[in-house]
Amino acid sequence: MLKRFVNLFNQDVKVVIRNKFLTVVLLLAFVIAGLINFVIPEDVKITPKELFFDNTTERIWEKELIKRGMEIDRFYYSRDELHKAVQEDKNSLGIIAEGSLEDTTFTIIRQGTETQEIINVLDATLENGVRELRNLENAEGFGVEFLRSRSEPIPFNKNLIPVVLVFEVVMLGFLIIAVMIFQEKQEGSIRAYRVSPGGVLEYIFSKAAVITLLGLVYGGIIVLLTRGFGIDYLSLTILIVLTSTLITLMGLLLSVFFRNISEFFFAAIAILIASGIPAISYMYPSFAPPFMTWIPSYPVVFGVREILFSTGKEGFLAPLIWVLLLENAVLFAASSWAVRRKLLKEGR
Amino acid sequence: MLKRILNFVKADIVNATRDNIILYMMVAPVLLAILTRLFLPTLQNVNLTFAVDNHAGQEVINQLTAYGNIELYDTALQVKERVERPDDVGGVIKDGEKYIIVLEGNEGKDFDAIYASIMDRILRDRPLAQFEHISLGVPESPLKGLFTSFLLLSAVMIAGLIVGFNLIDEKETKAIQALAVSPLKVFEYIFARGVLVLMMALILSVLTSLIMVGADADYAKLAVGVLFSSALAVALGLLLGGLADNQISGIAIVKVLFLVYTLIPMGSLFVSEAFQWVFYPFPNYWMFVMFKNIYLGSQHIGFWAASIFTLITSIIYILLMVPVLRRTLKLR
Amino acid sequence: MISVKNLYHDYTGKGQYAVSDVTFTIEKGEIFGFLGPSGAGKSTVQNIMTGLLELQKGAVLYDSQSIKDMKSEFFNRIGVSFEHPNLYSKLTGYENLKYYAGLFDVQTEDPVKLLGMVGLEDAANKRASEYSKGMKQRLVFARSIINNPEILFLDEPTSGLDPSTASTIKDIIVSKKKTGCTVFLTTHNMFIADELCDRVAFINEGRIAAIDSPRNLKLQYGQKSVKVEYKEGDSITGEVFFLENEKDRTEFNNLIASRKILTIHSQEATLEQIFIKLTGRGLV
Repeated sequence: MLKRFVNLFNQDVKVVIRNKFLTVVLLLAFVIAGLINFVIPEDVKITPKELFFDNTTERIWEKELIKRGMEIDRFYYSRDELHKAVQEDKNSLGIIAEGSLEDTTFTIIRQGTETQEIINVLDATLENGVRELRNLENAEGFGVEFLRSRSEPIPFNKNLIPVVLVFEVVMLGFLIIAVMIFQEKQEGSIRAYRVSPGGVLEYIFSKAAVITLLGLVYGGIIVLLTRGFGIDYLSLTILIVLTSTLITLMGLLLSVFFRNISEFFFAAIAILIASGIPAISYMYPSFAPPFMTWIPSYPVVFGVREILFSTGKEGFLAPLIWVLLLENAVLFAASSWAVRRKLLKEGR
Repeated sequence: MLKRILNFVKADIVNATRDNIILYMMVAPVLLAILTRLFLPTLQNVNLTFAVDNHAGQEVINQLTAYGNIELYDTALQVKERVERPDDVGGVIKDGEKYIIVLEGNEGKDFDAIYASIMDRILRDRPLAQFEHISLGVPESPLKGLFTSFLLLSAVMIAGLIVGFNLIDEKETKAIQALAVSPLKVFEYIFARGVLVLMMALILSVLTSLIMVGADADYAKLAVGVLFSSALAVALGLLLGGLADNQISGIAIVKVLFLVYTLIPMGSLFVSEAFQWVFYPFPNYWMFVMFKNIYLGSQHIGFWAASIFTLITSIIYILLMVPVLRRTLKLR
Repeated sequence: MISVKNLYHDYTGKGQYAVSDVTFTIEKGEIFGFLGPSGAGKSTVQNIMTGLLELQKGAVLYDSQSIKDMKSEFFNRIGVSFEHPNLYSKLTGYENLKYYAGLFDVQTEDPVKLLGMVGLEDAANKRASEYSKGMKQRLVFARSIINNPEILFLDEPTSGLDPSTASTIKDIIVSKKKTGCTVFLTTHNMFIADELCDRVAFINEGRIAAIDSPRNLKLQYGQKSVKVEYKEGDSITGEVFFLENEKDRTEFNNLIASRKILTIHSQEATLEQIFIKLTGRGLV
């Protein structure tokens, strides 16, 4: 059995290379690493942009905010100007400051789609700004405690690496396994395998192994070029291997039921998008509806982030690995049943 | 000539309806639009979440509700466990007389300052400033328009992919050779495929737009936009069909195409207006600007300019591909 | 009317010619057979003649107009039947013909009538993917004559067909000839060539070995052949001798003298035997 596995593995490696998948993957790996390192900015604002009109006597707000690095083009010099600007940029809020520091009135021009809670939070932060400018102490009776030491915020570009790893690198397995299956169906080489002593296990393991290897190469290059050597590659490898096999088995299970790859393809898009939804939660961490946390990729993408940008969180990896192992076992059982019943038997 | 094109379009339509592909193809973007529509309200109303210890006292809890969603826990330990979960949630517990804001340490920039500002405001006796609020009364957040624009981009691409896979099928079955020994010209071929793309793209875009914004859009402009975009869809289809020898290598190519196709407009969102020219050579960028004009109000470049640039850049790409197609398809 | 002059073709670009110095002419209304084993260069020549392959060196002239200068209207005048069926598998047999007909600017045949002619009327509304190999072959043939072509290129039109269907196809080819159609027939089946062709060209390893009518070839190379069957040990062996050839004659005499002869038949040599004689190899 091992001999057969090695033999099949070699064959599958050749198929993947001949299909130019390796070339594509290598190319993409360097392109993505280049984009992350050099093109995507480190700081990107995805929340609404605040625009200001400082009508206070001393223009202290404008001075202070510019001192803190706010772009000068976010300041306007009349109510009307600001009003117009907010109307034009639907992803903005207008803030007018009037009066003196001791008696400030803020007028907030909102689009109208913001929730009241968000506006209240904005009020609170502005009020906090007044407090700071007046050099007042915080109100008594509260403090802030961090469960772990505070970590540096992750730059926007580097923060995308886990997204790329989980939603691009690993998801690739889903398509490649399907491609391999349909190629074998089309060429009829699967029929030759049916009448050989080769079994379901070698068939699945060999393909999963090749794809996982490809994923490791793909992800390895990206991580190495963007994060260097200073991270826990062992844990990262374990996570990539387990997620890659999971998605590969999912692809296998699905592709067995389709006649040709074009039909499969559109069903695949739906599944890929569903698995990709947690990327939104990753970018907006406050957005986490309960069903989202059930999608397998949800905990993985945050796990990968913890490995790549360690904040000292402990004990998160083991439970994640257990969950992934369990999911793998279930999908493995289902897909080997499907392969045995549908793929390795004649007739559709 | 017209007769030949019409005949070819008819054959394409019959061919497409024989396949489940057409079904999946129609279903995929529609499903996507429905899903997005379901999601969007949650995403638009993202509020802060406070994990609060029951012992924090009813008054503080009541005041906190003005700033976000509250999750109540029985013990301080449970609050801390909640804070440890992957999403960004801050906890509030009471230690003796003092309130403690519990954070994990890996939250985004200014997260602690925001929580502190809120607690400060709740606990301070007198407000430090007065506030007035003016609402512009915009009914929808820009996210909806943005998502709609992206969905429309993908609808157009899917229409192009159908053409690409049709072409691959013709190459694989060698039916293309039968076309090559008929009087069909390469421009007629491209044009016929363009008509198919336009029909598919129109149906899909209108469906997508209806699901996303209902009647609240300028459908005449959308039709014009799709008409101008169909050249790009044809270009994508021809590129796919020209490069791939079989469906399998087709998938590999789609993989790369899709990435490039979506990354360009997505990237343009994060690049300041001064550097938008970097994207000017790409038709999908112009298409995105065009759709944003329809769904997000006027942009730095208007609808008509963007549509014309979409068409022009797409046609340049098609012209660049014609020699390759002549060779691979052996059409004249 | 069709003239092919000094045709060369190199797929590799390294001077390895798949076809070299091929020259022949075809008269209007003639059935011209192109006979040779697989890989001899038959399809290459046909593909250059139909414009599927680019002309590299030499000339292909239709009424002294080069294939290179042909506009797409030229294709209204020709019909091509491919060796490997290339159909829209999701379309029915009827639809395959109907939509193909729509590509032409000239009067086309009624698809139903054509399907009837090749015995596919019952399968007209079945998808091509459900057709058997032979049915697909017939559909491809029917497609090739849908525009009433003046010149018909047929690549192995009867391969894989049962004898009665093959004979139907042969009848159609003959009737096409009667209406003045010129036929270029590529095959490795010498019986078809013998039966249908006015003239045949033998092609081997990219070169033409002989061109003439089957009758003349036989007269020239094989009229006086004798087939002898004799016993060699426990097995029966057969051999053909061309008695005009001196070496053959000596061998024949030796054989008669030394072996136990079972049968002797004087016979007309088949085209295949002549092909072997001329090229040193068989047709398969």
